[in-house]
Amino acid sequence: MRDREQMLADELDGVSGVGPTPPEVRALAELGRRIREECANPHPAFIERLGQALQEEWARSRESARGIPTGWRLTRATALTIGVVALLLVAALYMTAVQAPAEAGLSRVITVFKGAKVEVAPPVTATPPSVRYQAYPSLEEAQAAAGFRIRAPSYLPNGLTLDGVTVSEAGGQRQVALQYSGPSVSPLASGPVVIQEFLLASSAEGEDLAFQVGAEGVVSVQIAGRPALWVQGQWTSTGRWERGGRNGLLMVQDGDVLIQVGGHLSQEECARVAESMLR
Amino acid sequence: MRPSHVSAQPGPHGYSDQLARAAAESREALASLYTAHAPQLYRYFWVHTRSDSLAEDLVSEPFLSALRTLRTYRVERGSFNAWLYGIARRKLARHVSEMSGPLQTTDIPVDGLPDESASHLDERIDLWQAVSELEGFDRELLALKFGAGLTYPEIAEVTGLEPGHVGVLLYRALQKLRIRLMGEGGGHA
Repeated sequence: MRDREQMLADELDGVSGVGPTPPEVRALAELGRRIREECANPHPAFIERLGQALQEEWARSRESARGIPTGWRLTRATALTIGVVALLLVAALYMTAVQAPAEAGLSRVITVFKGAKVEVAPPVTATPPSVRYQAYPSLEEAQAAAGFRIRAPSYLPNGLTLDGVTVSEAGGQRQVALQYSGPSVSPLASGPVVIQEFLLASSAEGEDLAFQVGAEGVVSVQIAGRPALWVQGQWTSTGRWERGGRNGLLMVQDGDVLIQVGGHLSQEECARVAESMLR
Repeated sequence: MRPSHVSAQPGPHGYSDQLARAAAESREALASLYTAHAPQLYRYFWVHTRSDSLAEDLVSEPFLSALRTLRTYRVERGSFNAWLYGIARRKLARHVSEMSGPLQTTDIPVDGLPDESASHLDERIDLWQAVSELEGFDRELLALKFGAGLTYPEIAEVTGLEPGHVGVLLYRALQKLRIRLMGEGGGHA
């Protein structure tokens, strides 16, 4: 039985088929939608102006970072290295005792794609490797840099249009992200949607790409006869998995590429988008 | 097993976390990050201030602060959203204290809406007047949910509450707002 707060959340997220909603809860959801719709959006000229100022500030900060004397940089780097090594030693002593049993008890692979796996396990807390990143305004321009065939959807809901494409590489793992958004009149009406494509087994180590999820909110589905996974949940800053939420993520493999369709879309819409990429 | 570096968080916020990491080194990543978050941040401030000019003034600083400290951002400590809205909330609190009291603002955006009927305009003014009369934290939840468009778990991360508690408090905030509107306008809500 859903409580009224959950009913409100479902109404606001447009979740259907979960049972009747009392008129009072529907009225509150309608009030929330009114706030969303009547809240002012920024003037495009202001957004552009501020964006320009930020880019200039970014360039200035890069200049000043380059201007630090070499001697000071070496001293600072040495001090940082000593500090990091000391911290790692302390962390290793602590984590060996505490984290290993926890992982042994929790880790469970639930889906294996070829070259990638999704497991029920705590989120990885290791420092991520640095990212090499390049943005492109169109698929055509990104294609040359991607190093693999970018799958573009032939179906998109609600008049979504492509904002841009990024090609990035981290730890030897190549990935492409296609970012879409809805009509500019109301940026929150449809919300941004991101399609990510991972070239599997592209890392130098040749090891599987791994994703960690919680035990709930993960469902096995089929997309065009292929095994796929629907994930609705996210990790909080405290490392706890929260099931549900407005964002969902669909994962399916096409050859050597793992496709993720995610954003403010229903499972059915994500599935339609993903299916259109497999053709 | 090599630790995965790709967030399994669904949707654009996991993507934003990656962008934030890249933005310290890439101007394009910074531009994408800004484009994705600036309108929502503006709307967050607008719900609090109901003023275009104040919202514009306030929205600049969180981005500039974030830019100066992007190198210290670590996704494992929390999402970029939590980080950005943490800065935004501190900025808003400073602004309120400098004004020595609750925000007093007036410019409900009536310009540019020539076709709007008088009754609809009255409803809009009633709505934002009622929002402004809510307790600070009730208004904060409405700003995060309906201005910034954050999810319950994201609001929980920003505010330090449990997601279930966010749902309860948001429900109550909307109830209070509805009672105010029904009392004043005879049932616009």
